[in-house]
Amino acid sequence: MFPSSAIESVPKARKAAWWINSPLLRMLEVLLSNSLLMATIVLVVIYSIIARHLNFFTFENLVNILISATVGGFLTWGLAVTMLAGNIDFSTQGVSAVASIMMGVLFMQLGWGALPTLVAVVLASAILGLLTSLLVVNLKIPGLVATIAVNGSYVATAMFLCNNYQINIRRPDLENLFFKFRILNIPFSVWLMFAFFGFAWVVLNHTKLGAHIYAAGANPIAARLNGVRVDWVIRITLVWSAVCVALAAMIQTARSGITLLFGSSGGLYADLGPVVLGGISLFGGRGRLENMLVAIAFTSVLYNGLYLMNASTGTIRMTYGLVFLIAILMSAAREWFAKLRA
Amino acid sequence: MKESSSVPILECRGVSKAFGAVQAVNKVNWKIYPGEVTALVGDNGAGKSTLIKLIAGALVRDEGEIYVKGQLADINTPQDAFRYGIATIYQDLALVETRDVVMNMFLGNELTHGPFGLFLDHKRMQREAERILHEEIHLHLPSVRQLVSRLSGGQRQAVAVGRALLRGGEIIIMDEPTAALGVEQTAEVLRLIDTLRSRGKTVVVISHNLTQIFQIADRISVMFHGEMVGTRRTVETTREEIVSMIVGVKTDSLAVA
Repeated sequence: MFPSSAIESVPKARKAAWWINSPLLRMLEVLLSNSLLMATIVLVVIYSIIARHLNFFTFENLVNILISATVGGFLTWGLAVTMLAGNIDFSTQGVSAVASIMMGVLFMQLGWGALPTLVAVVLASAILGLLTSLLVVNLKIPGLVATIAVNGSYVATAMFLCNNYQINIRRPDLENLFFKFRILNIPFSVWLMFAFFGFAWVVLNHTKLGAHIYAAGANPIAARLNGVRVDWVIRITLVWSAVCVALAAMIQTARSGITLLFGSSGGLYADLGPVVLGGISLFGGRGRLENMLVAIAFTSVLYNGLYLMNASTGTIRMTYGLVFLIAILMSAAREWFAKLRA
Repeated sequence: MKESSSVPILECRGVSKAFGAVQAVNKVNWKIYPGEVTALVGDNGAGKSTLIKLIAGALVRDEGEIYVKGQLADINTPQDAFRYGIATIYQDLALVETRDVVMNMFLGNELTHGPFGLFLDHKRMQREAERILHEEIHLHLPSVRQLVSRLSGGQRQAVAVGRALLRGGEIIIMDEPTAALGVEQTAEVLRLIDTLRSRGKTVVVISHNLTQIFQIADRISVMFHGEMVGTRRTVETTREEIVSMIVGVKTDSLAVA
């Protein structure tokens, strides 16, 4: 009935604008995909010149950068995975407040050991993630609205738990566990952050769950029709995100020696900055976790330098905002290039 | 054409589905025979897509039974339908544009290896995807690792069909496969359907294009206002008869056995 010849690969017809393959555009594209790494290198060079009397290049400062990167790292791995699944988690502050206060209560007021406290807080945050997922998955409330709503109630819960008093962390075992216990002279908390990164990377790239996270994020309807359990994917990513936030909060609390109601997260855009900067699409399903490493390196070096130079809080806040602004501009440029080359 | 005396590979008995007050599918009895191409036609809103979704497990029927190869099939989710060898290619193809061809073909059905089957077997998936596309449906892509967003409409349809075959689909349901395609690509898809039939697959096609249907289908089933008004063998009917059934002028409540 029909000639059974091979189906030809017919290239998609497209009106090709003259500039589409111009060297300038190609160069911009290359610049865009490598901009973060280059910016980090430039930053390091600048700091080593202007801040050399401030010991930027000492091993202790490197460890300091790594430690401050730990908090941002955990927040970033958490958010990145949620956003790849096409969701967003704005309950960062609430979960970290609950985690911080709970750590204070268990560790100081009830006298629990460091490890039991760690495990209990991680479990509790997983339950918080599950609660959030009840709204997002079971009640079908958009993640943006649902997580902002639970964020408020989690902060309130944390205030209620601590009766509005901050708890001082006076026993050293948690601090010892996170910062003094070192392997190859690198603190345990840093290793833990890299372990979480490695785990998330393997899951995203080499497991069914990872494939389903990407698919659910890019096209949830298609994923569902192909038998992907999108609801479970979203539930799991929200739990993962809450656990990451809790670890960030505990490390921050142990470091500052006092429980923090509004501590570990530097505000929504400060948390979101590195994720978007590293190229995780705001629309879900696109982006690679390894780029988060560069993004975290960039922001950690940037903020560390500002602190070393005694920058004012205003300057630091403004930098958070600028980084986020640049991040979303770059994200928009990426979407534009992706459409252009499709 | 094969003899119709064989047992239906798929049968609906009294299948119904309502959305609120709208009875989208009303007590449909329908038989699909193995190795044939059956076309499902009807006006917009006649209930074709809903019926297909009930069979594919994308919607849950209110009442009625579905039999696959004479056995009662309990289909409530897409996974259930896959298990019975029913693979559906929706109008929008349900492809994830930002993922490559291989990951799309194995979406929801990924091959794994290693301890407890924890890890994706990327190599075997790529080999299998290439084999199915080249040998079964004669699609030659420069690379199966390219993103679906870079494929033409006909190529995408072929990838979606490849996925259906990978799932072990014996009954391939296609919802408006040529609706969004140009002349050239439509011909590709019709060849594809022909190839599937020659491989012994059962194909169900929803279409509006009667010319295409008379070219490709062995049987034509017509729905009107949620009801199955009849099935005709293509060689024994005319365009006029089918059109009069589509507009509801001519009905017979008994499907041709």
